Amino acid sequence: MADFLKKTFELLVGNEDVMLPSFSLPKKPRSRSKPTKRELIQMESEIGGKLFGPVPRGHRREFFNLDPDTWIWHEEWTDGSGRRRTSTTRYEIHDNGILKAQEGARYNFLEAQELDNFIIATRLYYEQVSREIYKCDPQTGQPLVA
Amino acid sequence: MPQNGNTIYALPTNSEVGVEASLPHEESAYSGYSDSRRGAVSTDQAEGTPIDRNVDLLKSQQAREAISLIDQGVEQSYLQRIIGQRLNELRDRTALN
Repeated sequence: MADFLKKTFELLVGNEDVMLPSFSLPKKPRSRSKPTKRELIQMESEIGGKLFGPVPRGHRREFFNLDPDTWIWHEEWTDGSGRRRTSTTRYEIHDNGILKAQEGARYNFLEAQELDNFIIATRLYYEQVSREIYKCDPQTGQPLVA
Repeated sequence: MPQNGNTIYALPTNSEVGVEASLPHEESAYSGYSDSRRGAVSTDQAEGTPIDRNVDLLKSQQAREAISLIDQGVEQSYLQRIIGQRLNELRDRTALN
């Protein structure tokens, strides 16, 4: 195909040294200067997983904000028989309280110590994520001065 | 009061706050019933007492605690939504579109 085009060009222009025009589009490298939302949530979850103290050996823990009304706790570990186990808990913000939804368990609103723990964890999460990932003051939202 | 989270915010029932059921005064409503039958009716009616009688319930310690829990839940939900919204704004500002 390229020979055919070259010969056609030579016939028309009469110059054997003519440069063939490029027919392929230049490859545009994808900018990676900004992370995607999914990547940001992944970064947040790494901070979130450490808010509750050291993660036991062999465990993987994630705690993150999914959207304005949803928080997720996800934990993976290997049990005594070598089987991989997972547990996911969803916390939903409702007008009348924070609903905890867990697979295989009944839904219930957080109360007492569990509610306090959740409130503290989400505030710490917001504080740390704001500073470490978004480089802004959690109170004012203004960029942190380096 | 049931201990599961879904009902903790409900106002306590008469029996739970120690309010004794009282007979309604409309005697005519019970004409033809024996005294023992009246008693049975009065107990059943206790859950449906007029709202003015339930004002006393609102002054009880348990009722105040229940209302406090409602307030706490509403306030925390409001604050949690603000945190969630701020996080999402930060992501929108930072993320690749």
